[in-house]
Amino acid sequence: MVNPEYFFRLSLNAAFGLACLISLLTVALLLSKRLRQAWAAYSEKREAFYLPLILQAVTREAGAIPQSVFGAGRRIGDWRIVENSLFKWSKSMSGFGLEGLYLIFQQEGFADYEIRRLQSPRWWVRAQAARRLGQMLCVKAIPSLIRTLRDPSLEVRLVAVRALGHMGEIRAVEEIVRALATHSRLAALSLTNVIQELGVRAVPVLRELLQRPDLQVQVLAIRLLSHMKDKAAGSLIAPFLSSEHLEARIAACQALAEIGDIAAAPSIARVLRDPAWEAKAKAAWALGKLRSVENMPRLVACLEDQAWWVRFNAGEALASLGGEGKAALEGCLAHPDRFSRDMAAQWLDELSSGRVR
Amino acid sequence: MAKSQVFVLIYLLGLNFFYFVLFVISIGSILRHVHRMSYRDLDEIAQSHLAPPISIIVPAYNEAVSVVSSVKSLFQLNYSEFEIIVINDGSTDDTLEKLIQAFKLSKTKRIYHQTIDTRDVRGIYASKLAVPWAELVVVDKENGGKADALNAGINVSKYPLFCSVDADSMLERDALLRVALPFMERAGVVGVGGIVRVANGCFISHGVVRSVRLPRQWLPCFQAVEYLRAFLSGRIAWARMNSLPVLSGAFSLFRKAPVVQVKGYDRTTVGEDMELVVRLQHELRGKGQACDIDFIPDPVCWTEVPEKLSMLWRQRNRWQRGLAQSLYRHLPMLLNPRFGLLGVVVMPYFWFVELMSPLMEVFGYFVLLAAFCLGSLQWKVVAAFLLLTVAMGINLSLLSILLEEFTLHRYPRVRDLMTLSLSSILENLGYRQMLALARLVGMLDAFRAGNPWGFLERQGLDKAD
Repeated sequence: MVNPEYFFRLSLNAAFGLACLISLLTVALLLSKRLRQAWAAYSEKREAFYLPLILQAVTREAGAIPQSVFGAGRRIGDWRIVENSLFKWSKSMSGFGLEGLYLIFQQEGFADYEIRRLQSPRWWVRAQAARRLGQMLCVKAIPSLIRTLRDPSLEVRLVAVRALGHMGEIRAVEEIVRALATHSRLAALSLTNVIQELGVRAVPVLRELLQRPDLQVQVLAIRLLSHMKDKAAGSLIAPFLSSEHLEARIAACQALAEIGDIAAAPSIARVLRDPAWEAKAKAAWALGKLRSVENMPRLVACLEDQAWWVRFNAGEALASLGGEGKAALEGCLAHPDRFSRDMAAQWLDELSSGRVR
Repeated sequence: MAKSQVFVLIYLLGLNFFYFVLFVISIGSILRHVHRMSYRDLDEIAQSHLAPPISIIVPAYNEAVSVVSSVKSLFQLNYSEFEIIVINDGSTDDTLEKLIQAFKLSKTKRIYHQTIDTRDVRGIYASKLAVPWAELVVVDKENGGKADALNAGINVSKYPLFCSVDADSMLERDALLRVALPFMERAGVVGVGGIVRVANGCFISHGVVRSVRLPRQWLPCFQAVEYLRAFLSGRIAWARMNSLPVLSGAFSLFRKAPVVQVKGYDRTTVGEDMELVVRLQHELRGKGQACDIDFIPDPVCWTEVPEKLSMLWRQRNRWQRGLAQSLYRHLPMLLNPRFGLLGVVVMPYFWFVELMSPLMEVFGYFVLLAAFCLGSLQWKVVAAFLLLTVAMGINLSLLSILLEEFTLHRYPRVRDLMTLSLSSILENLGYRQMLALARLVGMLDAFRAGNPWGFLERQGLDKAD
């Protein structure tokens, strides 16, 4: 049984407590918004104050050491504001001006500060430090950034990889690939961009990585070499077409087609007999991409394949082979197999409407 | 009477405590997500050929007014490779004609991989202009409902991921990219949902939200608060526990293979979005396969919410019926430890809170009123009790708004935050009670039909829904 008076007091007290909390929350909400807006306005004002000082320091004579931007007008919080401004402006500047920003970054002690922050127990602090050091091309941070490639947080490793790539640190390529090889597609994606930034200098290291026993590293190296369009790597990649690992076979088909290694077409055509439909579909696609007219009969045979994607890719490949491919598709319109006829009709329709690229 | 009062009190207190726990879990999850996103280079990912290609499926039923601008807005998405498949689900207006005219479409002889049974496809159209509409496919089919249209889209789609988008919703430019990130990060991800926000009141041009504003009417404002509460505390917390049983049909991304494996969307339910997610969890986890369903708070889908009570009533009635159907069909998951937290925490929560709460709420009001009329309760006790429950509700809403402001801060004006705060107070004065009633009726409707959990006549994809 409930005593109404007790129930009343309990409810009322609890409601009062919650009402206080509501007031507090509302105040916190509005205060946070106002503070955020006020800080943004203040930062903008201080940025405007430091802009001429930084420009003055940047436009020094060649070889001269820039003067410190902090003078008598320095206020609390300015150090952070200037660092943020340098970081922001470095994204839109180039040439001599950018070099000046890098010098200021190091001279004012931001570089040492960020190197120390790479040891922070909080991952997002380490990630921010790595990003800033990379963006500001802080050469003396390279050993610390290479160590950061073994950071327990993937986020930090990704940022460190980007930083080293941005700095053109070719010595770190192998370490970079190892740091990300076993991770997600997102890591591979980031890595691809970094390798692209490093340019042809990364190619010999990637070719070397093809010889490593680690499957993930090999597959990643195949993809990166195809991204670099390294024609000389074709002969090194071709053996992977007969790898026992499906992932490697698919990657090799794709890479050889992307590179444009027509000499690999016979080996790719052999993959059309692969037990896995994914490999067959990729091989059919690759032969189309390589415009391999010699393998047309094999592609026609694939139109009868049990897997829809193999038929689809074979049809697309034939459609991309020009007049001969078109003739082959027309020949399939009278094919006894219904799947072949349908697929041929579809791709002929796509050809006639000009939708095949 | 006293026992029922105590029961109602304990239920309400327990419920609010549970909501608070969910909220606490959400805070950590959102903060972590926001931190991680600040170190992602979205443009780099958007331009990469390694980003998985996506098929966007847009079911359209009598959407002649908005379908062209919706499709054009989808072409502005920041993503490397995607196709847009619009399914004209037997519209009785000129939806198809509008599309043909706007995108210079012509009928093709395309054949597709019929992996899921659907109503007959009358034709597949593609643009004669290779640029810029090369990746647009329009499927014209017999009317079969939204689920059937989505299934037809899955059949026609060529990419391994598909994204369902409502024809009257708008995606932010980076929305597709953000929602695809979990698929690039983890192998076991099957579905990911993004947040749905209220577009009423925003300044929109060419299918893009240019500036975010709150609506001027109270009804959509209340829904804005409700959406924030539901998405920012509920779904994020469930996702954190890897036990999310629902993704919004307005905007969700799925891996195609597992969806095909479970035979796609169910055509016999009005809540096909929830039913699919629960079925994926049920069947895949039941077989010991990975089924990671995620929710992330920043890929925004803007949608227009009902501004009339009658429309809102119909919408909530339908949602409640869909919920009842989905839960009943997957009853074996309830309290089943084989499904982990989903079985022992989330399913009981959805049964006894999401499904039953309107009943409890209306029952609670009735009990209080009856006790008061019979003289077994004093007015001040009733008032204090109501005050307590309202204060709890307001607190939860305010916490969600605060969380939004600290992490995502989509509302730039102080005025909007004030309006949201005020809405979280005013929604308790009639709006929530009305919703409880609509949901209760929805639940009863589900039972009242001849086959209470079976086929329910489709309402159609009109604006009201």
